[in-house]
Amino acid sequence: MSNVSIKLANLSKAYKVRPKRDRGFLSGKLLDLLRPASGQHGEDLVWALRDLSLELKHGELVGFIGPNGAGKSTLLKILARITKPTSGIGYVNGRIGSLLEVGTGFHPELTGRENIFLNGSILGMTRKEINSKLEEIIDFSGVEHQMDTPVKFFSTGQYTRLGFAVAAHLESEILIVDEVLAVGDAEFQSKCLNKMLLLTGEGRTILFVSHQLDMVLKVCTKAVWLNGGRIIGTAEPKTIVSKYEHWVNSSDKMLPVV
Amino acid sequence: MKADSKPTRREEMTHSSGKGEQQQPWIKLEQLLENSPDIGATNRQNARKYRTISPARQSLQAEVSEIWDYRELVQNLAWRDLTTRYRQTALGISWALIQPLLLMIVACACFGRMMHNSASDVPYPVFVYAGLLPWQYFSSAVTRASNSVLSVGGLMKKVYFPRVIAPIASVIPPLVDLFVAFILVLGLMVLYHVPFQAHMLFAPLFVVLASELALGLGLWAAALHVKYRDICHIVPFFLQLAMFASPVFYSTNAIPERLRSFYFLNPLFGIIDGFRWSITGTGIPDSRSIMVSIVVATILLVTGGAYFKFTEDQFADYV
Repeated sequence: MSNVSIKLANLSKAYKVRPKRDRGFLSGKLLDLLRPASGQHGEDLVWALRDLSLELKHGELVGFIGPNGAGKSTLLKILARITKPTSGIGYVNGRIGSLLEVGTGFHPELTGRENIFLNGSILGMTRKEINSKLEEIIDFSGVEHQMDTPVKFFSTGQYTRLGFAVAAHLESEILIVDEVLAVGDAEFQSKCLNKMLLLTGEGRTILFVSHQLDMVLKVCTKAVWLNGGRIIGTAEPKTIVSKYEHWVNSSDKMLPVV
Repeated sequence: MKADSKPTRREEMTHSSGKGEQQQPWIKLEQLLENSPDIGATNRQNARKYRTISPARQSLQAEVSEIWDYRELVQNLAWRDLTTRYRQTALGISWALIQPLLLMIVACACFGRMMHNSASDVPYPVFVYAGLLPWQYFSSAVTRASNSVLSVGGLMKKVYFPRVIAPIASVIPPLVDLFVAFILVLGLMVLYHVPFQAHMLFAPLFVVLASELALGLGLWAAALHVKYRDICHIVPFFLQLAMFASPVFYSTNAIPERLRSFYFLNPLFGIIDGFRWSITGTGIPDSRSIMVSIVVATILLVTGGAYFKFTEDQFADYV
């Protein structure tokens, strides 16, 4: 069996940033036509990711840390195929399930049970798969008594519970967990962390974005520090977290060599 | 426009527009696989499990087979639309029936006397109602399809699925409305002693043509809507004009002979005339108008699909 689950080579992502014009779209375009030069020079590129190379193996629980705007979410979005890279290449071995935000794909008017099916199919599960795991999902979510209530009456925490429950039972080889567990209570958080450990034990890869460094320390087998679209370091969580903390608290903000 | 209220506008860059400085030395996929032979061997046969990430577009074939893989999502999105639309409504699905019925009554009150002779050999209420069915389907399908991408925008920023699923799924729920409203036309025909005929079996063909046309237009509108919010002003206005340009309230006979070929340029002519003919047996549709419908619907579907595919990479950044 192959061991590598994700491999990226020189991956970059750029966004065009245009200075604001106080005109509507059409008049802006017309102005560009009149002054073609300004249209070209007015554009700036912002590199959300730059020359990123990374190799992850099956069964790894990888924590991504870094300040806001470091490119963590952009990287995960590219992996989940939500947006495309500007250049570079990579491949992903297996299905990707993403849990990017509270109740992704829930419809407020539908009941909890109906949303499990809807959300499951959005994540790429078949009806059969969901049926076979329905009991497990409901059980894991811990909101079984509310299964026939529209989710608009759920609390934020209950929303998250259900969302994580569905995503965690997706038979994807790779699971993306982006800063969502913070909403759940302590009991649910530890339940999720345990589930994550269980899944990686089965050989799944989990990509975990969190600003809670203690969580990264607790569960991750590997940590990646991103800053300004580049990887500063990839190593043991202990090493990375301590260097990162040191950098956050330092006054000169000089990036270390990891 | 919303995007203008922010100080900057973000726009996705395609690889081809990269400037000299940013060009990366291209790594071939094969090269990448060679470096880790264990992956190459197992996964080249297992294309479904294994995905490449690159700025390149998917091939059309891959795209089509992927849509097929996601057919359950199409079903589920359509089903979600249907169930949630009538939830928390007092009258439920009967809304699908009330709207064309009220429109028919209004039309009879306004034009009934005027159209009495020119309309056709069937009573005007049956005539109008049978024309309203495909029209209502078309207009509701186009409206939904044009909003479809924006309405799943939140989802699109978080999960991957073939974007084209959204407009496809949005032309299905109005079919159910059409089916419900269709039951009443049978009642009206009994009431007005209009005979049932075998050519009723042609009706689904015209419905298919209507959904093809709606999807074609919808794909254009949905893709344009992401970038140009003008679409939400254009579509309702366009539909209003189209209703008067189509034979919903009047029959082809009411149009002077020399102007007919001009009217037939409207692809809805063949569809509405054809549907009404197949149900009520009145006004055999002109073959020219049906040809126009087929050709225009196909052209719109192909070009709309191409434009959608061409722009979809930017959707997640614009929504």
